[in-house]
Amino acid sequence: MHDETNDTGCQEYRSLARRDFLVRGAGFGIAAMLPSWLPNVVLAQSSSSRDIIVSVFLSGGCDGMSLVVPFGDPAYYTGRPNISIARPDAAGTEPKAIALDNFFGFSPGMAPLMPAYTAGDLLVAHATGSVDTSRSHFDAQRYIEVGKPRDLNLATGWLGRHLATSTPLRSTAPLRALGLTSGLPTTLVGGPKTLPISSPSAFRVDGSSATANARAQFLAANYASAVEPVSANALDATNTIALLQTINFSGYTTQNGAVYPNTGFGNALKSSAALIKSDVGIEAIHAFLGGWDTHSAQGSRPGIDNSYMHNRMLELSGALAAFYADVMQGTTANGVTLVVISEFGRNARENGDKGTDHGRGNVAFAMGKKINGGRVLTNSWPGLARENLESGQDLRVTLDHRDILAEIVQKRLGNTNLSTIFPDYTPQFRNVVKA
Amino acid sequence: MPTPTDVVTREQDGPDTGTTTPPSRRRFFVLGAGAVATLATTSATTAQTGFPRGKPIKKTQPAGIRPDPSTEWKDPLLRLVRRITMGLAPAEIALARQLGYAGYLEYQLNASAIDDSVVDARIAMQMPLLSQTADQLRQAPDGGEVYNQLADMTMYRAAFSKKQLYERMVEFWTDHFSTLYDKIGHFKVIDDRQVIRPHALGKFPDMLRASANSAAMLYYLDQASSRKPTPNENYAREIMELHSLGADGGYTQNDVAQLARILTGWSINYNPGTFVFNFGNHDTSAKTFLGTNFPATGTNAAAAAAMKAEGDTAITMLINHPSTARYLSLKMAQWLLAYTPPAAVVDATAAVYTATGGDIKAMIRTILSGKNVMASPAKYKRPFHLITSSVRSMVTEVTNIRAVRARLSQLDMESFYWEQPDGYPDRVSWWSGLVTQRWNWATYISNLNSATVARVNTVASFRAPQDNAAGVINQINGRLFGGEMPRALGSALQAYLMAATYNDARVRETLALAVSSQEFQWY
Repeated sequence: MHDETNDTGCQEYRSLARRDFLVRGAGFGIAAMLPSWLPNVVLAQSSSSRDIIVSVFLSGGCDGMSLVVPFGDPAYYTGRPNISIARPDAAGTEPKAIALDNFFGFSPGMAPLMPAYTAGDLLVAHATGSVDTSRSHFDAQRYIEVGKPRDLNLATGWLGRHLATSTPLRSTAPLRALGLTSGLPTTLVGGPKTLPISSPSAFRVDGSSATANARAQFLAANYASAVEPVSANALDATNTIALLQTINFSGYTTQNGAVYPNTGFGNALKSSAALIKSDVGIEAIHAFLGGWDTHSAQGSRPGIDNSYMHNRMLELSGALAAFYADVMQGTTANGVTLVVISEFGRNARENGDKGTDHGRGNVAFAMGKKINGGRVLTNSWPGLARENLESGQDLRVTLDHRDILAEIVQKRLGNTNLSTIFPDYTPQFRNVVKA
Repeated sequence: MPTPTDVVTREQDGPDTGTTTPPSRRRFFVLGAGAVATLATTSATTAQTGFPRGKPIKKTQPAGIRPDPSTEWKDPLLRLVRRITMGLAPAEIALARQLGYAGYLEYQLNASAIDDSVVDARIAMQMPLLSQTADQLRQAPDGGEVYNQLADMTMYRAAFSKKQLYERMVEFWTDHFSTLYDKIGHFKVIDDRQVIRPHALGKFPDMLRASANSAAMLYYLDQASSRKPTPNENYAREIMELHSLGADGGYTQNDVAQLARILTGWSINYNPGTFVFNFGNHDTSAKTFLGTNFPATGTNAAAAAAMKAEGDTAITMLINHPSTARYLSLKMAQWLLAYTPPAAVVDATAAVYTATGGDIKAMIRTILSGKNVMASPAKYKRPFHLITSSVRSMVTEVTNIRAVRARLSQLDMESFYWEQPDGYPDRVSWWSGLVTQRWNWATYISNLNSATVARVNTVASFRAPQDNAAGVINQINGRLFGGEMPRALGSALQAYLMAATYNDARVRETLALAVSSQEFQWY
């Protein structure tokens, strides 16, 4: 299982990591890992019934009305003459939406998710988003990642605070969470034993195997006195080397014939699957999928404008569908819940470039065996007629995205510290999770 | 002009022994975690956490007892060199000592007077595509070579140009006016040549106007295809949010829409990539932007100049807006001084912006007073800075920078490849998790001994004048740390060096550990 050919010195690292870091780490105890900014919390207890969470952020402001088409709203078609997706019952041969109910349908690019939807394991939520009205990518994304609108001072993320207020799924786990990202996403900031690892299969320390042990000892001592998060990062990274070398990423075999798209995102979810199935105590994974800032020639219809957004959707839905078949219908020690959100939706009406500018209300997804899916959740559809739009141009947000996340955090991740994870928010559960 | 004589000793942020921890939390720790052996009483530290943009983070936590590396940095001159260069290097330190604090800062500010002909000649010889016209570049059989030469040049100048502060500002403005090479291609070469580098130490209004005429920017943010009656808002939003006013700069969604209308017609000729105003695409009806009326214009070619002038007027409004003065001052102070610069420094810099018409040099003088520099905590090197600083302190011969520069991809910071228009983050939490990548970089550079790439000449640079453990440690102290290496680090490095047979391989491993050390990650 473990490929020895390209990681000389790993054996030393593995043994030294245990000896010098795990042992020392244990001396600190769990409390030492708790950041001082945490208010009083009740630590969520470890439980085999707790789910692992995979959080996907569609960065750029995804045009949710192209993913999940409100074909029952006539204003959708009048506002989008060049980029809309035809009704499921439309005449002609053009590509059509696939009905989810009598009002909403998947774009053709989302078709691979139909099995998860019809099985009742995929929940689609619409007209969701942040209660903050910012149409700035960076502010909107930041408020969603920290889990609190309009707070410029909060530096930690909602998932980071979930981790900080729950006992580890496995007490010996060297790594509890990772971002499959080039740096640590704000969502995960504040989480103990959490690292950005853009390529888990390439996570190693170079150099002579003969001196690996001595060098690691040097660095352990050196980084022990560093400020945080630099010190903890070094400790976690060193421990994680050994962990990841026990996992065969390149030879990973999927279950149920699942095929992940050979793209960055597809490979990220495939790596996630390998990590989850190896049962090493990873309990949260965060990934980005970009390319959604479709101001021009968005190509949400197949065959138009190089099918640009259609292909983005296929990448998203293909990876999620593979993950569904491989992980959620496969064998895992813990259950898995996956959520997909974006910073905001886009204008109800297309612009002169056959694209859409920054908007508000959007689609979100939750997937898992314990998700109360197979339906499109709305808090009464606000409508796309001009008089119903926010600022005359955008789908209103009638469903706080935190309603979805908070219910999952409490009911599937077993953490009741919602006032810490989502400060100044009154939880409003909407039967996202099965009773 | 402040001089080192007005330096004040940095005050510690207050003692903290954990006694402010609420008893209830303390009890919870013991009860809640079950297997708790030790109570963390001093988990807060003085680390700067960084912040992407906007208001500085309020200090809500008591400072801890774990100091950041800047507590060892007693010499104001060395602090200045760390702040305004891409890394310490013996020749740079010697020059700074010769000129003194104020003299060295003025020398670096007056970059156009610095003779950089050796570096220029090297660039001209090794990266010839960069002197081609846009039309030539468009027709060049690419295969990535245009990008490679641009990225190589960026790294080479950052590491070896004598105009070190200038290169720091080029890096800053490249992020401020960030574009994605994948989308814009060779337009970035022109943008670098005509927008970023001519104005990096010039006047901000000139740079903003140049950027608003840049094919790279107008194509990247979809302005080039914006037209009436449904304009594309992308550039109109970002020129306010990212380039001038800042997200909290006092504009509304309606202002975004109005500015988008004002800018309709601002476009480019794709070949060769020059600005053009297409009056036929311009929305000629009346607008109101930031409270100012823009009356309707004529609709034919005779009115084209008046139509185009609306955009110039709007950009001038942005330039003269107090939010722009404040936002730019905050960002520059965050870049040059500290993640959370004192409000007084930001205010003073904003006043200089207003008084001087956006003179970047004058703003830098205000930010980098000796007093400010001595009071600022350490900042964490981004990967680009880690690479340049290790190269500057260790590498004496470079044949071809490409292989070294290409290591940026392993450190997740390839030049011009940040997807979003806000530029690569400058905050600790984003970068500090890339630990193994940093250590692997250290191993790579320390073992670099190639006639075709570059060489760390250990014999000349580290094993002389004294070819023994103490001598090597002394040279590491001088070259990598400017003589301010923490004593404990020096002892540990020396112990490592002496724990096995003294030879070149062991010296190089010791160098790698010095570059890997947490103290070297800061500036």
